Amino acid sequence: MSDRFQARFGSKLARGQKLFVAYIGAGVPGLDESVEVALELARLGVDCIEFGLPFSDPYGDGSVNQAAAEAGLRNGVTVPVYFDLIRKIRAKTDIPLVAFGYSNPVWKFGVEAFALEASAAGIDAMLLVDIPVEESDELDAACAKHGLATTFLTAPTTPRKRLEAIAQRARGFVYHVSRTGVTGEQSDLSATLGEEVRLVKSIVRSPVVVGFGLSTPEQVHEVCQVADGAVVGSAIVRRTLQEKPFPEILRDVAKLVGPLVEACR
Amino acid sequence: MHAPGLELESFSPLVEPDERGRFGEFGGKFAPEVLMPALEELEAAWRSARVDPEFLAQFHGLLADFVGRPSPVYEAKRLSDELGGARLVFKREDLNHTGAHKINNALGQCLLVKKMGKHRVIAETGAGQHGVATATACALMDLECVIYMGRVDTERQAVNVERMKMLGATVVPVDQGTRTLKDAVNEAMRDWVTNVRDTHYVLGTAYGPHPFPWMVREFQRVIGREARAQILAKFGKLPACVTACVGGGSNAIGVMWDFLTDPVRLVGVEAGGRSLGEGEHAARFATGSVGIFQGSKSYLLQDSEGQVLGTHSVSAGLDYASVGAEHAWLHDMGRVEYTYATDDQALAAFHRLARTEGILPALESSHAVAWAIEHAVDFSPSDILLVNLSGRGDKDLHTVMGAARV
Repeated sequence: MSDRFQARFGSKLARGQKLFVAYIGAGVPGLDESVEVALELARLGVDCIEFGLPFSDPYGDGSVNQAAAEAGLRNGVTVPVYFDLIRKIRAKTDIPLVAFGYSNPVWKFGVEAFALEASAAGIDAMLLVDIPVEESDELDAACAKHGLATTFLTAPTTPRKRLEAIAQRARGFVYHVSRTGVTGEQSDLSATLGEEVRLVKSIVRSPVVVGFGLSTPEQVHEVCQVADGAVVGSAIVRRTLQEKPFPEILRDVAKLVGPLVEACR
Repeated sequence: MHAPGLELESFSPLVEPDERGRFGEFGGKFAPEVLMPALEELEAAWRSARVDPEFLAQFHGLLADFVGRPSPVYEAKRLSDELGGARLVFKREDLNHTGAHKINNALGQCLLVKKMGKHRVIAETGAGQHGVATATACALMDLECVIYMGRVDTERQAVNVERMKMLGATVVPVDQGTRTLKDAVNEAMRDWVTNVRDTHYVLGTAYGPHPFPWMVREFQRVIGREARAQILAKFGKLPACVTACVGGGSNAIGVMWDFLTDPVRLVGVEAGGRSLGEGEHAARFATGSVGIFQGSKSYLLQDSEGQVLGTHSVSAGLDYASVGAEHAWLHDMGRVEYTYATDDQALAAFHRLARTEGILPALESSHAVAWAIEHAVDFSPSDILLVNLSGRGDKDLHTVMGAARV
């Protein structure tokens, strides 16, 4: 685990606090603006940012994150530009940063080269939606070599045997998906969530954060009763996609995220 | 007659992919975690079904009585005479119930759905043939059926949309991305990750995460198994060459597989579209490179950043950015040659076959016919050139009439 992960997650959990993880899309609403959104999240007390590397065909995502990926690509987010954005964020904050996306852009760049440059730019971990544990040898080796954590998703459908395999590989944290489905806000949490998270936590040593569909302080608070933290993505991304002046977008993000961070204390 | 550089004696086909679901480096299970248990469940069900006499009896019974198999092989004498080369022989998958080879796989997978105890089926479709086949199998087996289809394809294949609805399916037009086949697959995947517990995704081609490429191939192998026996019985020898169009690649792998160890030249024909310019075609082997897409590692049309490129083909069923993993392996092994036919060549072949033989081929199959027309003269008049006529062209009249007006 990187020092930044250790410093942030370790100390917070030791104090009995929960983690708040935010997902945003690189290059949304604009290149430098996405850096500003990340820095604003850091200022608001977010514990970790998943910085979405856009892909043309994000089939694990709902319409909001899909629109963000399209906007990011339109605004010119290539892998080198993505690393530039990371460097700009890293120059001003120690917040743990996760490169989050789909495998093909990473494989096209070269897994090893990607891990090397990501690490140098200030990334702490990688999570690729379509790299399940059995396809993760190459990614894991590259990440280990360059000091990055390899993180994985777990799902309500993941049986114990798979959780054990994931536990072997997962570093940094494990992201438990709160329901079957794609990303996107929803009103109710799954009734079986508590049971699922307890199972995951009994097998996985890394902190377990829960996401998919969360958008309110109440949901975040509820999730934090069983998990080590909560992830909010689409609700923030939706605000960054609004057609309005950027300062207003930043204010909307702050208005949403402030109480979410508070709910994790 | 096989590809230059390959010693057929040293070539052995992969009866099944390795334990990671790979054909060489291709294939695999590049899927989100939420789907992995369903893929494991499917693989277990498939492994038991493929050796279960009762399942196989049900499957082959439906192929005979419901689909009308074996489909005939037909020697196109007028066209062969005109061309003055090989004897052209068509494997008539266009005469199957629902009009294409797709029904073989749809019935196989829906039987498996019943066996797994699931009650809801989703599928993607490009030309609409797989959608119609799946809707048909679902009507037959009393399964709920939802078909995802790109908006562009619902327009160019409007008749098939109506057929699916009449068969009781819900057709969902997809407005994301390029609004064609790959976007229909994305939407079907989104549905599957959401409803994975009670839903099976009847993937229509030999693509996607393991075990789909292997399972779909096995359901489609009936084409080549029949054709090989029929040609031996009728002509007393093997064909010199077998050709088929390649979209995802299910009709091609189905017709070719039982010829892999024979001294038979195998040619896959992709969609050359309007040109080999970016976004103008679906010739993955001509300009693509290895990538990971929709569950599988294979050849992919992508830009320098690994973003998936748009595709174009006059035939919706070939209009796809990637290609089945086993084809990628056969390509790299040098066992199958892959080439392409353009939109214009496919349309010309469509008309020529209609006029000379009274057969309207699907625009997908027309690509293989186009290659045969162009290359018949490369063979001697005693050679048999087997063309898989994967589907019939009634669905394409709108497109063909539109092209004639331009």
